[in-house]
Amino acid sequence: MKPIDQQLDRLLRAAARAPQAEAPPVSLATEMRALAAYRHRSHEAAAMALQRTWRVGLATACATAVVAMAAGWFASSHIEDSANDPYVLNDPGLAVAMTTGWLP
Amino acid sequence: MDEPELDVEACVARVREGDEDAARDLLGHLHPLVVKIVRSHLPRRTSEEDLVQAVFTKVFTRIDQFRGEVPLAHWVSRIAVNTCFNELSRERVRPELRHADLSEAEVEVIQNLATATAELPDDHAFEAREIVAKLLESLSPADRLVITLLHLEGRSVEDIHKVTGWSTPLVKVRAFRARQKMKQGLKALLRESNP
Repeated sequence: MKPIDQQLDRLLRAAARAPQAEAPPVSLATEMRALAAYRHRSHEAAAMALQRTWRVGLATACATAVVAMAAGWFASSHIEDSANDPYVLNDPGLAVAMTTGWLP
Repeated sequence: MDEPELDVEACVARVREGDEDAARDLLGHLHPLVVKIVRSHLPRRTSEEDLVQAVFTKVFTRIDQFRGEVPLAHWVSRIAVNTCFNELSRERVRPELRHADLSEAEVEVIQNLATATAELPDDHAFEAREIVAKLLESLSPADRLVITLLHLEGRSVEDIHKVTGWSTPLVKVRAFRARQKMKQGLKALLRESNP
């Protein structure tokens, strides 16, 4: 090992031994800034949760509307088909009466 | 009376639920660690408190990203080291250290290095630290960071890889180059001290 390496190592070892001053207590400014960042994060998280709920709600509403429209379209096309069939009972009340034998 | 040890895991869970008192407890628990790291890597003309505040702002803004895969202290150390590194990178001027910049006590340490082979006495440790800090100022932020972590904080190469995200070979190469530059600086001081 070259002398300069030894000299640098001695210097670095001594520097590493230097005592460090105790950390001061948390200052008011640090506490306020850190907690402000924390509150901001909390508000952001709440806003994100609200936004997520809103998106889920919107998606559910859209899906329900699509299903309702599909069901309506299916029912109307079914009625049109059955209107031409003389043996199909279009009246639900009549259908119940025929199958159960009950008449008011 | 000693304060009871903080249950970090439970505290982090409470912090995530929005408990401000828990956030205050966590701040008090992490403060000495953050101050220690910031002091080791503090750039010139930057206030220690400003940098500590910047670290805690990041910690509390990103607390939801903490997955608990590593201890909280490691996660916070990484944020603190990276914040200091970014701050160091903003420094444009990297002055060369000259003999005239040294105090009388620091010159004594340099002369001791030049003339003796024994370890420097403990009462020279503070001056040694000052000289090292001045030598580090002339290095790039990455070189400065690697020397501080490796030699002053006594961290392993693996540890530095985890804290900085640099690959292990990169840490070794940077440490070697940084050491070469420090040797040049020290050589110049020794030459000026004993012409």
